[in-house]
Amino acid sequence: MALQAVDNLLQKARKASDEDIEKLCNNILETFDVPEKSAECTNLLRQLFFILQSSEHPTGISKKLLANLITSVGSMSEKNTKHCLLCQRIVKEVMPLEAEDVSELLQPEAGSSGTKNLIPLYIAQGKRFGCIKPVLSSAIRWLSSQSYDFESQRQGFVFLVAVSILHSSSLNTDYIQTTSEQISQWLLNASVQQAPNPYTINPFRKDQTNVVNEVDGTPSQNFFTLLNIGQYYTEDQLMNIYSFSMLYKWLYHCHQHQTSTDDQIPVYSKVFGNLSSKTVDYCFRVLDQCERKVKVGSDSDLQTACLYEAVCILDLICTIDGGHIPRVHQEIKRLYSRIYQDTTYFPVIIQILQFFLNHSGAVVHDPQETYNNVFTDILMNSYGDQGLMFDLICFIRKNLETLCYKTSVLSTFFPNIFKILAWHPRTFLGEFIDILPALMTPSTSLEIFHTLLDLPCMTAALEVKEKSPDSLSNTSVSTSTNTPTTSIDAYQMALYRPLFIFITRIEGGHGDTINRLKSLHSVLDDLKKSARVLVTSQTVPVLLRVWFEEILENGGQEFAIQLLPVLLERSDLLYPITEFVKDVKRIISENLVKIMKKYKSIITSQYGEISDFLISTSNIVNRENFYTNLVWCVGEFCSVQHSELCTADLIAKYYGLLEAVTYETSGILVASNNSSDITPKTLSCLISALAKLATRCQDLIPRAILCLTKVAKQHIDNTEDPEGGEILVTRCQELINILKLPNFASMILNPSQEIETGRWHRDNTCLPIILRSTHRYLVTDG
Amino acid sequence: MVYAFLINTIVPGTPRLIYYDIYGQDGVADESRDITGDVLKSIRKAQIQLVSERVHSEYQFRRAISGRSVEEDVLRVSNDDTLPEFEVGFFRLGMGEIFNRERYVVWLGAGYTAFSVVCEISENRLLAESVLRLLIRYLQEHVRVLTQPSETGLRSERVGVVLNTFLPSGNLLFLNHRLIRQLEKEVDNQIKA
Repeated sequence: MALQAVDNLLQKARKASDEDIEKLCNNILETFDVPEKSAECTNLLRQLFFILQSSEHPTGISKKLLANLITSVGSMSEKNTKHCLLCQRIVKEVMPLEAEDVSELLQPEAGSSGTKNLIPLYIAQGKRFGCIKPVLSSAIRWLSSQSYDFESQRQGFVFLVAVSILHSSSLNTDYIQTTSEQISQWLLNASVQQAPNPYTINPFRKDQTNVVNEVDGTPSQNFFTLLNIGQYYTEDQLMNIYSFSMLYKWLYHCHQHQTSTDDQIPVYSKVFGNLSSKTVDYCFRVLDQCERKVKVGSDSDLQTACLYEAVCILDLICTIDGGHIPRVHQEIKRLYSRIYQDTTYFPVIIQILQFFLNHSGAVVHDPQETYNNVFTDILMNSYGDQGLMFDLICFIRKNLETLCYKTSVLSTFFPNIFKILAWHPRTFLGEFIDILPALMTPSTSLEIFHTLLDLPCMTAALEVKEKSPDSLSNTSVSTSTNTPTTSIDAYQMALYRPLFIFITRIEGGHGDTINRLKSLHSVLDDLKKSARVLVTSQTVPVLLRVWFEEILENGGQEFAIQLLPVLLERSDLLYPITEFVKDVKRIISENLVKIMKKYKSIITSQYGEISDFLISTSNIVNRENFYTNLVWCVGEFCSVQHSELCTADLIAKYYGLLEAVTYETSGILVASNNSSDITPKTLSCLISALAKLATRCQDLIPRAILCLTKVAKQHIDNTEDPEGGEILVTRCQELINILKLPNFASMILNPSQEIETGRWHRDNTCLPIILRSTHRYLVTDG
Repeated sequence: MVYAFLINTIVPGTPRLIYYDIYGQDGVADESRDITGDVLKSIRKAQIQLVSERVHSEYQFRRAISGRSVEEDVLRVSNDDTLPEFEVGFFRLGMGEIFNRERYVVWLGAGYTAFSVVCEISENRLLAESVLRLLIRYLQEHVRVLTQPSETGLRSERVGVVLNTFLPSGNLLFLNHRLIRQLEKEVDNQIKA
């Protein structure tokens, strides 16, 4: 099998020892530059490269070979390209070179024609032991004088753009000015004649000098651009194409550098000289050329990519020099109205939206219609296109602040935006972690909470929509009320269609969730093993954590009060994927405690909600952790200490409620033969809460002691679960003993808040000391 | 200028790097003299490996959702003359995630192998995809990269010629159909030379 061969080769290469490599280097040296041994030499070079590239540890080669290789790279010509490129790759593999080697082998020589061929090596060496500075001045010289050959100019330009991307701080204003001037030249002054065929030499035939064509085949009547078609291209035309291809990067990185270093008001528009206006001219011509119908199919992709690039460049030009905005804005608006419904151009439309977002303010244009187009139609129809969604996610991330504070796009269209994650859960989780807090506002947070919990359903519903035959998805739905056998059947039934429509809705704000969530979960049951649904379900816990963090940070008490019933409901209303349910329940239970800890008075103010939930022992089933955490919160926070509204009466009510539940669960535990959904943990938590409440309302103490005694009796000879029984009995006994000393009990079961500030072992009244003295009392009494 | 181009295997298990070329640099570490060249080389390799692992994971997900088996998938590339349909993907690498600066990856995959370019954020996504397609087309023509991936690492001089022509020093160029033909001939001549 093909891959076995890959593995074998890699293993062999990785086994190569330093001696092997040395030997190989020597063999190469013996054959290097020996014409009759060139095939052998190539073969050895290939081997060396393969070993270097596959080795897991950095490997060096002999200095002599390195010198030979570098010389060879410098001598590259049309005849030996293949060989020299291989040498170049080997050298790059052992780069960056150390100081000594750089000074001996890689110093640019002014005027040497070899220097231009070494440009890739200088870029790879970077700023280490510096060849950037001397090469920069050479590169500028090559660019600014017409007397240098095409290859020098090309390499010089490549080097300057690389420096702008990787080491922009090395570029000074002069360099930027000179290069920009030269780019303007290349952009607007390329010849319009086609180059002759370089592969036919026919001295008798007169070379036809035809002008280049437009993409539709008509002869060009304007200046040359990359969208002009010729049989062959001249060198200056190639430089024109290079210039446009690298223009955005040049402007972008130079501009970034300038704005990050200059404190002054934009002088940076000047450093590009007339490049800005020439760029606008060139881009306008490209926009124009993109309206022509292509003769050769593959060029239409090129047109789209060019439009995308041109809009990005124009956007940047308007940022650099606001003077261009009116003219450019008009042109971009025209472009938008031409292409806004055309699927092929959707990527361009996102760039146009970026342009509008940046510059519409300057010309009093409201781009709301474009926002709507992008965040409703385009998103709804193309969420499956990962490239487009990548652009959209990048757009959202980049403009998060503007979108969040200056538009209502995020809070309106968040259900649609979540489709991106629901369809590409493996790819965009990181981005959603970043943008989630910006989607959350006081009015959307709850709906987002539901959306997150039902994200796997959204994925499943989208899959159903994808799989449903087109003809059926839009036309009439059946009114049958039979139970559907598959999710696709359900999608075609009037009874269930609204559920699908809701879960894949575009806008938020039409109700946080639906009553028939359970039936939605059940009709989507056949998709819970789908790979995409499973991966989506794995993203939910991560995002839920982010959601809760945001709520704990900025949610406020009012919101926490609204959230409580939702937590009570949703802690057991989840799409049934085992791992997902387990994770989500854990997160909800943990965060319930965090929220109650932050807003302790909720226990007092929301008695109705909480008691309704706690009274029913059926709520323990499937969410014991959540239930016990809530019981713990009641025991802990139902106190005057945390809310002035907390009365003895309320404590007694909570006590009565928990006592009833305690008797009930205790009974269930004893009778259940170890098979109930309730564990001793719940009961233990309940009796602790009872004891805590009793200390705050001392009339309750005798009642609590009685209750604890009864529970202990019930479990003393629990033969089904002796271990659990024993723990419960011990726990009851401890609490009874503590409650017998009401003053100590109040200290121990209601420790002051300083317990959290860490004065534990430093204070005479601290809990460990009290416990120790209580213990001593009990031991001597007992 | 893209940061790197790489080819790796995408069958289940650890992805193997078949070929890579790095054009860019990755931030301050490259300039610091406290870090030796060898350490930099190791970091560089590890980063490329991490990119290939992420591409591998994205591809496995695609394979899982399309419900295709590895065998079926490999069959798609068994015909030497026509290019298979590729899975295409894009993902962002935040600052510090793998590289010191924010970058993104465009990848195409089918059968045994995936091809990726690691782009600077100033790069044109559509162009990156179409150049990547061109590279695959000519790599298949000259080194049979899809059908005999093991040859690719060994016939590196041909890979070098294709890359140097269609991705010169890592630069993505806008190429119309005629210019592609012109470059195609240059590649043929250089490989024959």
